[in-house]
Amino acid sequence: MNVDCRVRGATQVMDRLQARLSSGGCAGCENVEVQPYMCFGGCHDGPNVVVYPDRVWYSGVQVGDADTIVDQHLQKGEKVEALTGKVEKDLEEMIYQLLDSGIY
Amino acid sequence: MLIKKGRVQTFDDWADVFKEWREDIGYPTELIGEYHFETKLSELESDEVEFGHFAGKPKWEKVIDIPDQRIRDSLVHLIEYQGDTEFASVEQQRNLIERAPNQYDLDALIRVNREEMRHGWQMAYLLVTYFGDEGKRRSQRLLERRANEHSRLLGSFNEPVCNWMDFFTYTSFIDRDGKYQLNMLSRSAFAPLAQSMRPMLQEEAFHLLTGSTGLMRIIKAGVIPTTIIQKHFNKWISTAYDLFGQDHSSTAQWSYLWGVKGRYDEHLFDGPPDMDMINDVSRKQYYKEVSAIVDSLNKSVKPDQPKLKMPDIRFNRSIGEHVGKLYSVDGELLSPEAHATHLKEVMPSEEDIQFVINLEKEKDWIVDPRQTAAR
Repeated sequence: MNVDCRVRGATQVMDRLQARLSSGGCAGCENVEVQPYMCFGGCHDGPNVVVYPDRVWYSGVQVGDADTIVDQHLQKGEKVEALTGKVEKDLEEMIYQLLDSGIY
Repeated sequence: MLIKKGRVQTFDDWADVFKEWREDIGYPTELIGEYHFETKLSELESDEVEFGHFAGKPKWEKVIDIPDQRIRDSLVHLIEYQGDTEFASVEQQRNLIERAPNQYDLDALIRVNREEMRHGWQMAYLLVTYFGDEGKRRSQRLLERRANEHSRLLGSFNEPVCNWMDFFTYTSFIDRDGKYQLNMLSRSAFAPLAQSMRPMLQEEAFHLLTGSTGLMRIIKAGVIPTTIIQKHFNKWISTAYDLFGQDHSSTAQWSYLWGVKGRYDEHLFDGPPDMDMINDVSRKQYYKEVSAIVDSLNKSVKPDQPKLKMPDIRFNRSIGEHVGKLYSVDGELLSPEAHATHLKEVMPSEEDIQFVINLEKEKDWIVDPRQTAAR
């Protein structure tokens, strides 16, 4: 993750997501991995979290949202609608396409 | 005596000049397709001036609300400079269209170009709509200067974009400076300017991602030696340092005090800035941000290739306290003779430029995501 998103709290979000997943605090998440990404480009709406292969892009994620993403999305499979729709669809598609291609 | 009347009296007039500009630079308008150029204004983050002398007062909706002629002049200046960069970038990248490596990258280039044109359109709209005859004259000038004639207002925007290696380096690093400039204007006391920034930032995100993922795709392909990639980084990143302005800038101080241009992410700061260092703080954050991207790219560099690195912040500077000083890319002070030799070694040569152009016709020098996904 890059400087811009770190200033906006990305490190805390990342730490919280990793803590939840590594402590067994997410039932059914054994195959879920959290990885930093250098820059999604959507800095103005950062921190950004992309859940793949679900093709869901969360923006403006704060540390408190990390638990919501784990509880609601990763465990129940329900999208956290309030955190979606801030970046342009084409930007989302670009990242999904690169992830689909296996380049990342 | 010459009496020269400006052509732009209304925004429709300006749109006519814009159409002529596209024809003059030979832009293949058919590739833009059904795209509709339009002005986009978002909601204000705050209705009140957020910093400077006028903090807490209502933001200025109209020019008549602006409390001082100097502030009005400063806004015209800022908007003109921003608009100038938008049209310049299209002129710089125009020559790449026929040499796109694949449809994926052609689509990305066209999208980047049309959005840069829209950003220029937005700045022209502000000039024509709010700033009277002076604004109309300036809006016309946005379309009269030319990057290839070195008449654009800022150094980076007169540099040639010779090949697709330049394009990805440019969109990753020069457009990233653009992100900073737009962000710093997004909390301006002049409401229409502030409202223009969020849509522009959203569009700029695609440009940054095109750049950084393009570089990653080139490095993963491993065909262009990193020594040549490094030269392109040296060329563009050093000019990007200049785009943040003078080290100790009175213009930046007044822009801040008048509330027209803040710090990057102004709302996250507690307390006022060090007035003498406004530009330098942003420049140093930019340096860190680009460093992180270079570090990330290095993870994909093949083991037999040298790693990429940042050019020293004092290298090849055209403004500020390091201008005219002969620093190397590693920050070593050189003699004039050694510096002249050094520049030939660390900046793209004609051979390097042609090497990349020749590769553009080949496959496999850049990973094509559509082909990879189809396998």
